Amino acid sequence: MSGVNLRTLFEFSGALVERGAAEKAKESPASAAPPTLVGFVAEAAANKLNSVLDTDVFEMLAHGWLAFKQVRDCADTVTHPPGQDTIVTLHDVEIGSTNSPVLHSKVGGVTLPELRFTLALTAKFKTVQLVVRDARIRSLRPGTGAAIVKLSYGKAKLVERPTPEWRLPLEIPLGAEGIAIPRAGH
Amino acid sequence: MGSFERCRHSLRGALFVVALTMPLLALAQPRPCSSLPRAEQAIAREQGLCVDDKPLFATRKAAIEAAGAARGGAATSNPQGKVPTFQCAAMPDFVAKRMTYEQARQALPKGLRPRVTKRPSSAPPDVVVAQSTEQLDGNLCWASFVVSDGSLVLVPPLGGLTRDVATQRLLASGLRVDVREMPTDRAAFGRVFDQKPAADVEVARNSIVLLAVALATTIRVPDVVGRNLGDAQSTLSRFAAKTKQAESARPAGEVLAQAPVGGTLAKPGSEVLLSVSDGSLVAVPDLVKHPLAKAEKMLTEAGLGLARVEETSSAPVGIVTTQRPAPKTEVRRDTTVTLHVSAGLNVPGVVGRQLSDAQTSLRSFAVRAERVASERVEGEVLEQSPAAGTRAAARATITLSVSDGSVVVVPELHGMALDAARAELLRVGDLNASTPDANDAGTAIVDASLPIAGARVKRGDTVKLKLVPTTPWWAWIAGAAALLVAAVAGVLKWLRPKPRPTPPAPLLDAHFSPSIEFNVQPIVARTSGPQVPEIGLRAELVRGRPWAKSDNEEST
Repeated sequence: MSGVNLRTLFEFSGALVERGAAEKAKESPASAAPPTLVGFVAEAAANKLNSVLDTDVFEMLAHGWLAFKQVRDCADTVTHPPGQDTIVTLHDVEIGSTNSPVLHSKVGGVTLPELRFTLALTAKFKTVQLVVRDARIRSLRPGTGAAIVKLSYGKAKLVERPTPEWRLPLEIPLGAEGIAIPRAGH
Repeated sequence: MGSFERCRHSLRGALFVVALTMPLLALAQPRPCSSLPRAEQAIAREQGLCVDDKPLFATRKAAIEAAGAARGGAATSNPQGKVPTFQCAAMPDFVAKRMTYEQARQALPKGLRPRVTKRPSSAPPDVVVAQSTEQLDGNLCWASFVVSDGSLVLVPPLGGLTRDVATQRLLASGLRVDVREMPTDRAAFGRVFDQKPAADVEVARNSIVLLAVALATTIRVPDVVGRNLGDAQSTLSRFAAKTKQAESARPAGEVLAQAPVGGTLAKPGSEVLLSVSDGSLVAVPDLVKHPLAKAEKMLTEAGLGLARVEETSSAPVGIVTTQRPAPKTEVRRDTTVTLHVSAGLNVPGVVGRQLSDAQTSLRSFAVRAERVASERVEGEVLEQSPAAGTRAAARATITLSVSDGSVVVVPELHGMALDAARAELLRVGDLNASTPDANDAGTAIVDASLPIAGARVKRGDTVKLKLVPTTPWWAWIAGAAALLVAAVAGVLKWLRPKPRPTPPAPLLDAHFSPSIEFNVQPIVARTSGPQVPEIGLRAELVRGRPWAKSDNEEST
């Protein structure tokens, strides 16, 4: 889609994995595993976790656009006849997505408790135009984009930082089907 | 002649006799004392030159009455019938009007007889300066006038005037001036604060009036430093000069310093302390850069002693480099002056070093290089003069004998191949090799040389080589072949592949299975536009698989 992957905005590091493991140990001291997720083992685990972050950000945020009434109004066939493109312009858009990377690990034949991180991404766009046709969002025309990434484990915040500025194409097609806009009453 | 005529002649004669006798009678009569000045009356009366007038009348009353009302006075009688009093007529005040005597006489009332005397006065001549009426016995009145003879001058008031103005005024008044300057605080500087005679006193013309003129409260102290004492004291006449002796090399009696210094403002008569040289010190002469002998002479002439210290210096040998005490320092006679005398520089040893290196070491000297034939390397210093360790002045000439490298020692060539011998001869001194028996030169070796090894020859000379046969060629080939075989074998052995080391076994067995669940919470979307709803949507996108179902674990 856009070419902006979640991994380009955020990557795990060995230190973050170590801190996550430490938070896990605090959560359940009784079932705490020996501190094996450290050093190069934690680095290897971070590399594995990073592999699941290769997901397009706009695919992840696709259904967020349906939150806007201007978009949902486009599903009305009376005001928006079939086959006609409608441009919906949104200003100062902020979309937040909360995701949960999970790591299962077995070290030296011992299965360790899973680590469930929380990765919250808040994307901000100065201006976004959505091309709607036949009650489907066909493409996006984003302006300048930026995001804030917050990684936490349980209630413990591990890191929160702004991402680098996004390099976005002028128009991001959303595939042949696009994103269907539910009609009113459905 | 009739009787009438005789009577007439008799009468004329009588009258003539009377006319002649009357003056004589008058002269014979003493003058009345009242006609003389009062001051002379007593003396004239004693000498009989005058007599007191007899009263003309028996009583005073009769006299007054006889005087009559029209004779310059008026006879008055009191109502009680007493004797009437006669008073002279009133006279105008001619003094106040500063009238001359003539003017006053003409203005006199009738009945007053003028009488004048002169006296010295500062008023103009003939001006009435005093007047009075005087009643004679009877009813006669004198108007007595005293007139000025103009011989005196009135001293003008001069207090507060400047000296010049006061002098001009006195000169204009016909007086002379004598000015005395005196310090005072009664008047400003240069102003008259006293005079003698005092103002408005009449004095004779050309009299001297003494003026007291105020001196300045402070005046500048003259600078007398450098003068002799007598001159300085006379210059400081308006001050109280005091002297004190001071040790100095200046001539005795010369003022060295003064306090307060010249140009300072001070009160006249204040003390000025003069420091006067007693001539007891000697100024150390400047001896630096002088030869020691001359320095000794200068010190002796100055009455000073000498101590000598020799030291290494770039200055010429025997020259004074420094001295203590420093030049111009004033010291007592017979003081010892320490002179540091140059002992020159140490000549370093440069024998065996290259000329350029030697010149660097001898940069304080003048180097003269003489090239001599030698088998040593060209440019090597062979000798030096003066020798190392001696002392010489800076820029003294150091003579160096430098090898020109023209002499070559024939090297030992015995046993060397011909080519090697030739190369050696070229290397040691561009020597040429001569081989008389050159038929088997390719395989021969050198047996001897001429000149023999160790002989000294000139560079470029020819050395004869005596050759002897050497090992046959096939022996060389065989040896070379053996060496070649050995070398090939070594190379092949070196090129044979070596077994690779077995990699170490992994130290840790770790397996990871990551997954991610997207949008585990509703997406939150906002915009700044109005009427923007906030709707949460549940995401369905899930990536990866849980660990329990994984069957393609990746190992690290």
